[in-house]
Amino acid sequence: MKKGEYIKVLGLWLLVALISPQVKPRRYEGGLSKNIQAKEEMNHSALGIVLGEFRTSLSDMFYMQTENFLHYGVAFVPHEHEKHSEASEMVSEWTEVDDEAGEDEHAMHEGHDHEHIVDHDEDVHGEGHEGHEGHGHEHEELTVIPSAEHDFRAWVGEMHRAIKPWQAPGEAHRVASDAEVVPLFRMMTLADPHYVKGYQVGAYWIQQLDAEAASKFLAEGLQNNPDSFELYLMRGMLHLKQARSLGEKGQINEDNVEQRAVLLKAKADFQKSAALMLQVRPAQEIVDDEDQILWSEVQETDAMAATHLSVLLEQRVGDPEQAKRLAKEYSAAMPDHKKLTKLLQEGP
Amino acid sequence: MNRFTQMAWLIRGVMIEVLRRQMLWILFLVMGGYALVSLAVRQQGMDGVGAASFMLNLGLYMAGMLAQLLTALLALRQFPSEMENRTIYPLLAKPLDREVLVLGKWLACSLGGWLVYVMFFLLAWLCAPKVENLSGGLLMQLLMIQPLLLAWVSAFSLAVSLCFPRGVSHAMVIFMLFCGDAICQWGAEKWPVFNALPRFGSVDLATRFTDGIGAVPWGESLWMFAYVCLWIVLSLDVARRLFVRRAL
Amino acid sequence: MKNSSTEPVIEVKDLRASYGKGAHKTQALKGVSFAVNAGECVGFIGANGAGKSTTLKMLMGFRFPDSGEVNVLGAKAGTTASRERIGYLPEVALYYPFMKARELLELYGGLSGLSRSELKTRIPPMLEKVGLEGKGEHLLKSFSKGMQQRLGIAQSLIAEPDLLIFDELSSGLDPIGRHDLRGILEELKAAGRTVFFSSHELGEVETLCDRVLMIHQGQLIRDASLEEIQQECEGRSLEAFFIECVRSEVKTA
Repeated sequence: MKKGEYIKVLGLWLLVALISPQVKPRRYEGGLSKNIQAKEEMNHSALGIVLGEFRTSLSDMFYMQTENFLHYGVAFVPHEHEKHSEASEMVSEWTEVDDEAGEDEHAMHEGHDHEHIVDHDEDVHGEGHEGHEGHGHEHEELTVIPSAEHDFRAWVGEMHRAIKPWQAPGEAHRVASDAEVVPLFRMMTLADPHYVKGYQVGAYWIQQLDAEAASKFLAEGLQNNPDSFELYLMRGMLHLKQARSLGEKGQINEDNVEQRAVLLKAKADFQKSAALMLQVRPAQEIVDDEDQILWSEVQETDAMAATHLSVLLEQRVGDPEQAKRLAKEYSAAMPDHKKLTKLLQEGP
Repeated sequence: MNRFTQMAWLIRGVMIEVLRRQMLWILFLVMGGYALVSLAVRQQGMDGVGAASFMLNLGLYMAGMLAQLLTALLALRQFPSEMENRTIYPLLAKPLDREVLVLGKWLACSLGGWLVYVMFFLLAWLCAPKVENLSGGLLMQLLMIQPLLLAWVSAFSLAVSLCFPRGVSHAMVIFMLFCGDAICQWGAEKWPVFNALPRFGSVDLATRFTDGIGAVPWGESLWMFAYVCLWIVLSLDVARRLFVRRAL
Repeated sequence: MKNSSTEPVIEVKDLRASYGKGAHKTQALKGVSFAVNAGECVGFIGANGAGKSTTLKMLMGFRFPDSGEVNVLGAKAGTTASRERIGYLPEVALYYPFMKARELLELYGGLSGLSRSELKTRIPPMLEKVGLEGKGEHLLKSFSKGMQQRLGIAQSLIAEPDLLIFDELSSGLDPIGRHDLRGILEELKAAGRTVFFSSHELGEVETLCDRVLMIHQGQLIRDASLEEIQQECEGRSLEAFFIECVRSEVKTA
């Protein structure tokens, strides 16, 4: 082609490129990782559904891998984790900013079967405890194999503990640290960027290695899922932990300027989380219905944490009056939130 | 020599190709498989509106996509095969203008693809469950844009087949058919140059139809038609310019 | 003879053509000039890579010259006007495997402007002429190379053209096919049609042609009537004469 012909063709192409943004098709917006409402609203694109579900299934598979990896199959019931929120676990660990909150969020765990039993004296299967070597959890892992002092089997028990049959065969020798699980979170969120749980739980594990990397990971999650209240809650948690790390012995002191600045960030995140949550949470009677599938127990736990922490931080580093207003607002939507009610009754 | 008569002969040749190549029958088998599943699902009863919409969307999507695939493969093969097998020589030894050959091949592939689409669409429409009350206006728009979309696929494939080696052109066109829209949407947010990529998926109204959304508003549909038509003109112009001065 | 004008049917003046670009540029034709008159049967011979096919492609307008002039049937080569009365047989073509022989001839005849009724009357005798009687309804994927070549001849003749250009005339044909082809060419000659063909089969050229053009390394080294060449041959075969001509050219170069 000659120069003039190239110019004509390029001109036409430019025209096409200019028109292109005017053609706005409806787009598929993610799969299972979205909340139930979003699922209901998604379009009926067969390919989108198949591919979306495939991506989410792939992410689910990676998630299961992390569970297997972290728990070595001990007392692990697939899907049982659905009832529990990693964020709420963090709440129980970190809300020692306030003993009251710590107790409160800790109480949220009661009644949940969860593989991470946090300093409980319960005896799963009635066979005692054994701590995991090399496991980064701050708590003791519960296993079905008794520890040496509780084991009557002598050398049989020794062998049992040495062989560790509860670990995934061929995998156990590789497990040096919980941090090894981190790439799985990276993979699951790459497979499905709307896999909120992957970002949420991934950030929890990453922050144990590198707080900044966790923050970036979460930022990516928020970019892909700007309406996810769970991710704002988790970011608030990271800020809260950062604030604690700035204080002496992990204590919170609102007069510490540095700590206060970080706490303000945490407060903003919790409040954003609570606001987003209120937009998507169904009415209380639906939440209370055990058969409903619109709002999971995990979501409710996160919702309670978000609202509670919003109010708590508003009280501690913000405006107590505003905290009261928030508590009222949240209580109206979540009348069963005992801690909020208590905060309202007691005042700042 | 009448150019239209020559085009008609070229169309006849390509139609014979469409009917006699295995590709059509393989695609028919795929579509037949869908029809069987769809009928079985109808027999069993639907779980709900969502499941019915899924089946209908799957049928309409498959009809469109398979017709596009067939059109693309047909168009991509035309010139490279003619040149490889040297049949282009006896063809151009006749009083046939090169431009007429390009136009004829384009029309033939478009028409072939469209006829296949009509058959597939009917198969999908008759077999798929239709629970929801869907927009008739949008269905008309869908059926109107489809021949244009196939004409675009055909023109684009012809142009690409004249620009690149066979393997590259096939990979390019099939990739753009399936991913062009997504790539463009992804890239155009940061780099507007991505708008220059062909977004075949952007004029797929099947999903909008099964979503139960109404007809595309006038203004929007005009943009859509203009977009497709301009792409056809651009692709044909490139194909024509590339072929007319090509040494064979 | 259909073309009764005194104007040459083929007129080539100082034709130059090259392949490739830059350092890889190869001069395929270096100023070839010749003319073919109506009713002549001209053989175009040369070694592999001498420039025969390139010249024929230029006559048909498949390639474009760097410089020079090519006129065919009074029109510039490559224009539809120049191709209206040409029958062309490419070197080796693999015709559409999904078509039947009849359908292929209908396609080419139709593109040449024949009506359906004309096609109906012309195709069966044409198939018979090239030895493909009864094969009209067979798919071409079942055709051998020789049968494809016969079909190629049929497609070139279907519109009864005034000028026939054959590239490597008997390529792929068995001895019977060559014999049949010779008969067809003699018939065409007798009908006054102009035939211009390239061939490696010098015996064929010797038997059929009125005139011989020899090309070597892009240059025309001989343009003479068969009688002139036979005189120069002094009892030797055309093949021996051709080899001698080429060798003397190499020495001169």
